[in-house]
Amino acid sequence: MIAVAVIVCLFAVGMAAFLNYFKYRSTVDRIVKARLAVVGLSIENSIQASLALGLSFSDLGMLQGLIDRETATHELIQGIDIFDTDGKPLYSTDRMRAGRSVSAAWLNAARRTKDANWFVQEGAESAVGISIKNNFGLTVGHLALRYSHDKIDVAAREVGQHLALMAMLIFIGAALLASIALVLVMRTVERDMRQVEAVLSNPEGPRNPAVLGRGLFGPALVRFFENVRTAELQIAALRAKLSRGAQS
Amino acid sequence: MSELYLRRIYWRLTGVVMIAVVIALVVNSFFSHRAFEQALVPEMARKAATVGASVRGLVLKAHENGIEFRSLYGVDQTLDEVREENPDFAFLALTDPQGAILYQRGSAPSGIEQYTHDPNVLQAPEATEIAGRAVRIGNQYIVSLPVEVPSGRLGQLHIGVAVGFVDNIVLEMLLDVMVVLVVALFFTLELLNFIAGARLEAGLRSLAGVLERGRTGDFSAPTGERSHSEFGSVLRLLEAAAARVSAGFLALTRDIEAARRVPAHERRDALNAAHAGLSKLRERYRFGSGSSTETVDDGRLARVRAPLFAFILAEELTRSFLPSYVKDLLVPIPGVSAEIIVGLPIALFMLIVALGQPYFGLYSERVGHRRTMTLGAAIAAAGFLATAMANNVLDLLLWRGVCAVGYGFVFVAAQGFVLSNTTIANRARGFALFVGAIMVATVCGPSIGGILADNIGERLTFAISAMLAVISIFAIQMMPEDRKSDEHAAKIKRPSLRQIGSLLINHRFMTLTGLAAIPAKILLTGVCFYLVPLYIVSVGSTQAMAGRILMTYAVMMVLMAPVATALAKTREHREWLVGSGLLVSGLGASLMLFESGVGWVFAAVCLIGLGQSLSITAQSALVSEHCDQEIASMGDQAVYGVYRLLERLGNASGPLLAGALVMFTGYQRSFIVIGLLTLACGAIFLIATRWSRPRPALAPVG
Repeated sequence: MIAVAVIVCLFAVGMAAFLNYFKYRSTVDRIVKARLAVVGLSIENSIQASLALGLSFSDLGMLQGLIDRETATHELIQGIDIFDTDGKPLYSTDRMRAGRSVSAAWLNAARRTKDANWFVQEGAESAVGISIKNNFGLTVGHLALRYSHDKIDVAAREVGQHLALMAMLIFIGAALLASIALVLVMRTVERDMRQVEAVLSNPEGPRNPAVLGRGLFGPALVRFFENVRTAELQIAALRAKLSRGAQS
Repeated sequence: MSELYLRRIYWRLTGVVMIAVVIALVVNSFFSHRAFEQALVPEMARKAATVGASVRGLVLKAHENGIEFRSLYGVDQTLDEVREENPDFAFLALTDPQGAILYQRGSAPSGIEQYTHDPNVLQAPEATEIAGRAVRIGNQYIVSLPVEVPSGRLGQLHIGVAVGFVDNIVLEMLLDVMVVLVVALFFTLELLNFIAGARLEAGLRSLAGVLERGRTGDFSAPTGERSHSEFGSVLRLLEAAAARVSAGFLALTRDIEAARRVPAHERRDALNAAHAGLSKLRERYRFGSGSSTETVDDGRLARVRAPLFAFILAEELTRSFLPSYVKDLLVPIPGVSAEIIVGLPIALFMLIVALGQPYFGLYSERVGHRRTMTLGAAIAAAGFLATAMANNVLDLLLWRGVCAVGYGFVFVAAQGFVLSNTTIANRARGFALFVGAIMVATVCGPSIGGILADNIGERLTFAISAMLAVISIFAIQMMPEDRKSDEHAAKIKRPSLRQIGSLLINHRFMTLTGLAAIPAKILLTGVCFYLVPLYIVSVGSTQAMAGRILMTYAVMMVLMAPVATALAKTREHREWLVGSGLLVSGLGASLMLFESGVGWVFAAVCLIGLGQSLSITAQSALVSEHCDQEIASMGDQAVYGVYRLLERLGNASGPLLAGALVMFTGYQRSFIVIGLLTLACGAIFLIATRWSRPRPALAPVG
C-alpha cells in the first residue's frame, strides 16, 4: 500500500515539478526571444529607412555603428550579423565572421520561415533572426542576433534546482501523508475483519443478530447464520424425533 | 457484495491518496508561483526596458526633427501598438522632467502619481546596459527609462507589467495540473489493482462465495483452493460453522440409517417421520463435500492488466502529436499530397493491425500468449525507438509499421490470454478487465503525451514510449506461463473470400457494418486521431491541448459506456443506441459549422465520445441479431471476423479520407463533412432498421 502512495505521489509531484521547470524555461525563452526581436526590429527599421532613401543594402555606412552600439547595450547579445540571401555576411559585430558564410542551419531556418522571425540553436550559441525586405517586399537579406545560452542555462539550472528541492520536500510530505492515510484506511478494514472474527469466535456471537449485523458484511452474516441456525434446529428436531422413536 | 465492498475499499484508498496529491499540488503551485516571481520579474523587466528603449528611440528621433516633446503626434497609437504586441504590459506613460504624465495608455496602477514625482525616480541616472530593475507599484511592476537629449532630460518613459503575468503563467499550467490529477487518479486505481487488488479481490470473492453458499443453504465443503488472504481467518470460521452443520447432518443420517436397519414392521412412526424430515432437509440444504462451485483463478487473469496498460499507454502517448511529428518530417512524394502523407502512418498502422490480426492470433496460440506478448512489446519498443530517430516520413512509415506489428501481437495475445483464462461464466468480467486497461491507458496517454511533447519534444516522447514498452516486457514476465495450443490454433480460421463476398452483398450485415461500424471508425480515426491534433496546433494552440481534448473522448467513453451497456437490453434498444450514437457523434463533428475555436473542438470531441460510447457496445451485440442466419451457415467466427476486418479497415481509411478532405476543403470543413456523413449514416441506419425490423405476427381474433 505504501508503494502505491509513494509511486502516485512521485508521479504527481514529479510531473508538476517537470511542468513547472519547462514552463519557466519556455517563458524565459519566449521573453528573451521577444526581447531580441525588439532589438532586431529597431535595426531593421533603420535599414528600411536607409533603403527607402535609395541606398544600397551592402553599402549602409551607419549600420556597423548601430549594430556595435546595440551589442554593447544588451548584455545578452554576443553579436549581430547581417547577411544576404545566399548567406554571405555583409555586416557583423565580429570581424572574424565577416569573411565566412553563415551556417547552413541559419540559412535554412531563414528560408523556411519566410516572413516570420526565426530561431536556431547550435550548441551553446543561439540566434534570433529577422528577414530584411526592400521597398518592393523582396527579401534582400537577413539579420541574426547571436546570444549565448550559457547565461540562460545557468539561471535555469538555479531555478531547476530550487524547483527540484521544493518538489522533493513536497513529495516526501505528500508520500508520508498518503502512506499514513492508507495505513489508517487499511487498519479500519482490518479492524472490521477483527470485529467479525471476534463475533464469530464467540460461541454466543453468531446467535445474536444485533451483534452480528453491526460489523462488516453484517446483513450477509445474519442471513448466513440464520440459515445455519435453522438447519441446526431442524437437525436437532429430527434427532429428537429419532430419540423418541428409539425410546418408545 | 464483494464487488461493492471492494469498490468501497478502492475508493476509500484512492480518495485518501488523491487528497494527499491535491494538497501536494496546491502547495507546489504556491511555492512555484513564488519561485517564478523571483526568477521571471527581472527577465520581464529587461524585456520592458528593451521595448522602452525602442519607443524612446522614436521619441528622440521626433525631437531631433524639431518636434516639441509636449506636442508629439501619434504617441498614443505607438503606445497602443506596443501594448498590443506585448500583452503583459498593462500601462505605458511618458512624463515630463517634473513627473507629470503627458501621454499614457492602459490602466495606471494606484500610486503611480507619487511614483513618477518621486525625486529618486526623477533623478535616476540612465543605465549603460539594459537592466532588469522593476519597482512594485500597486498591481504592477514599473520599469522606468529616462528620455535624454544632450541638452538635458526631456522626461521619462514608464512601462507597467501586470503583477498577474506570473499568475497567468501558473494558471496556464492549471489545465496541465488538472490533467496530472486525473491521470494520477486512474494511475492510483491501476496500481491498487496491480499491487493489492488481485489478492484483496480473491479473498473477498472466497468470502462472498462462502456467505452466498450459506445463504442459499449450501453447507457442503468447497473443493477449490483455500484463500490465504487477509480474510483467511474469517473464512475458516465461516467454513467451520458450515462444516459443523454438515457434520451434524451426516451424523444424523448415519444414525437414522442405522435405526432403519431393523425390520420395517418393527420401526416406530417417529423414526419414519425423522427419515421423511431428513429427506426434506436434503432437498432444502446441501451437505457433505464437493460443492459444485466453479473455481476461477481471478488472480491469474488479473496479471494481464498491468502489462497491457503499460503497453497501450506507450502507444496512446503518441496519439496527440503523431500527425504534427509526421508533418515535421514531410518530404515530397510524387503524386501524393502532403495532407495524405500525414495520414499515411496512422492508416498504415491501422491496416497492419486489421489485416494481421488472424495471423497474430494463430502465432499466439502456437507459441503461447506470454511469449507472443513479450515478442510484440519488444518489436514495438524497437519501433518506438526507431520512430524517435526517424529521418523523414518514408522511414517513419516503416517504423510505424514495426510498431503496428508489435501492437497487433500484444493486443491479440492479451485477448487470447483472457479467453484461455476465463470460462463462459466469467468471460464478460475478463473482457471488462481487458477493455478497462485499454480505456485507462486511453485516458492517460494522449494528455500526458501532449504535455511531454510540448516540453521535451516529440522525439524524446517517442523514446519514453519505447521505455514504457520495455517496462511492459517486465510486467509480461510476471504473467503465468501458458501452454501452447496447436489444437486451439487449428480452430482459428480466417474468413474465406467467398464468405467475405457473400457478407458484403448481404444487406442486413452491411446495414450494420457499412452504415454504423465503418462510419464510427472513420469518424474516430479521421477526426480524433488526424484532424484534432493537426487542427489544434494549426490554430496556434499546443499539443498538450490536443492531448487534453483527446482525453475527454476517453473519459466520456469510460463514464458513458457502462450506462449504454445497461440500456442495451433489447434489439430495438440496441438499434436506437447505435443510430442515436451515430447522430450524436456526427452532430459533434458538425459543431465546427458554427465556430472554429478550440472550445468548439473540445465540445465536438465530447459529443463524439458520447456518441461512440452509446453505439460501440450495442454494435457488436447487433451483429449476432442481424446476422443470425449467416452465423448459422458460416459460423460466428467468420461473420465476426469479417465484421471486425471491415471495422478496422474503416479505422485505416479515416485518416486518408480526412487528409483528402483537408486538401480540398481545409480543416474546419473536413470536420463538418465527416460529421454530416456520419449524421446521414445514423439517420439511414435508423430508417433502415425500423423498416426491416421483424414485426410481430398478427394473431387471429378469437
